[in-house]
Amino acid sequence: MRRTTAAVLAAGALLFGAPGARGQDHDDAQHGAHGGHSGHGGEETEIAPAPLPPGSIYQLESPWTTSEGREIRLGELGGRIQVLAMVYTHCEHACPLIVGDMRRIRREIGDTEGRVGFVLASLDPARDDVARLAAFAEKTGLASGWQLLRAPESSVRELAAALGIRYRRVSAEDFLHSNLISVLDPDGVVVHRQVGLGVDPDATVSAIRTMLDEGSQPAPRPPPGEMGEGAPERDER
Amino acid sequence: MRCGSALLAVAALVGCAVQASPPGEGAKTAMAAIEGGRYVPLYGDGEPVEVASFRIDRGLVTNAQFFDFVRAVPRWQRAEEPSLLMGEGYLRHWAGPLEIGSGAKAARPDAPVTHVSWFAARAYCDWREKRLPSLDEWELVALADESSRDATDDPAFHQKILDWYARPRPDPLPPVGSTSRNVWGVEDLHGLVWEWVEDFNSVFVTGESRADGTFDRQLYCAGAAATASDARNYAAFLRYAMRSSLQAGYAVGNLGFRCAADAA
Repeated sequence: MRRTTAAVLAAGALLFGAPGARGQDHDDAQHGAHGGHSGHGGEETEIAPAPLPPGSIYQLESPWTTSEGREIRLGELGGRIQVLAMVYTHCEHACPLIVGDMRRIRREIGDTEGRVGFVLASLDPARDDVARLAAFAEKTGLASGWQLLRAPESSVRELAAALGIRYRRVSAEDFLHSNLISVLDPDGVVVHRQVGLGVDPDATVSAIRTMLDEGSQPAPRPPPGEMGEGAPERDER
Repeated sequence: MRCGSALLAVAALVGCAVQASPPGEGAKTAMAAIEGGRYVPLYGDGEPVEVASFRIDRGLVTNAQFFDFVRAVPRWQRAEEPSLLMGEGYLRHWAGPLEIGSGAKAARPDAPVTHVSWFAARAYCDWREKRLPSLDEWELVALADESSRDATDDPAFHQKILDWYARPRPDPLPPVGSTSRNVWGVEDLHGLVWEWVEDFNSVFVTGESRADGTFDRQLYCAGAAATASDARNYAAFLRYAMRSSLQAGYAVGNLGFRCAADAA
């Protein structure tokens, strides 16, 4: 059984080529972009927003709705570190644990004066409407620093795909889904992934602290070496 | 045992890159109307899944058609750097961002476009005011052979599919419509390239499920062994294994797509 799983993975690797250090490439590209930008001396050119790094999930343009009923683009989450998970509010098992894991991360990083946000994006657009999200936030005590988002199925599928989250509705009530917490830098690039439930958050916390120590500014971003060490960079499986 | 060797065959299918060529018209845009129905997916508990009626492109999207798209929507042209949306290898079989190429080894304009990410495939379908088919839609229409809407009980049908999985991919790829046409009039579902579906990421790798326990074991060796007498599951198993190894940015040489739409 094990062996076959390995064979599947091996087949995948052969099929698609070794993943390689893609994250690193992105960082090079991104530094290049920023270098060019500041190199112009910033005079009369209108202040165009710095281009998003190639790895940014803020390139996704589909609209989402907050639990206050406000329509936003994911890019509006930018400018601060975000800790993001995809859950559904009717979930009785894994999702409360994921929220618990996020709270634990929050506790451990302490007060960051709003430099770190926490986001729950719903996997279940059919049942998680704005009112339901608001009620869930209230009941669960998710107040300042937390955002709950919903979007149509197609946008949910897209965000999950971008984050490397797999999910499937298995009944009227339930989904199977990857248990994954993603840490996004202020540009929307995934710099760390916490996989599983009830995981020791040390690596996640230190990935966040590293960014906080470096100023957590949208640019320049930390060099590749600073990304959550030992964390799977692009594939949680 | 069986799993292992077949997966090696899958691996052998891949890996070679297609080279480039000149734009042209290869476009069959007509869609086939597919009557909804039930099918039993490989995953899950053996219960049939209901699929609503839908429409699907008869042909795979070609290099020429995709060329029209990137010309019209420049943000999907190949860039210097790979990105989240257009991974390593995106359109690398073309001579340039706006040039399919020419020469014996070049990609044919009328061949299916490959080296496209899921994001790009989706954007193309959206541009055509369509969408990617769902996994269940794709599997439903792929049950058919030339004469029957459901060929699952015909061993020859599955053998043909497995034979294709075992053959090396021709380089460059042949034109769309060159391998098969099923009773719905949909071409090349088996025999040319693998295809993106909207919910490719609904398929799990078992390794990932360790924390959660139980699900999807039947998908992997236990399941494949239990049903090894059933070639149908075996072919489907290979497709699921392939999908479970994908990430949305991947752009590889044996993976193309076609678009679908809700029933008219």
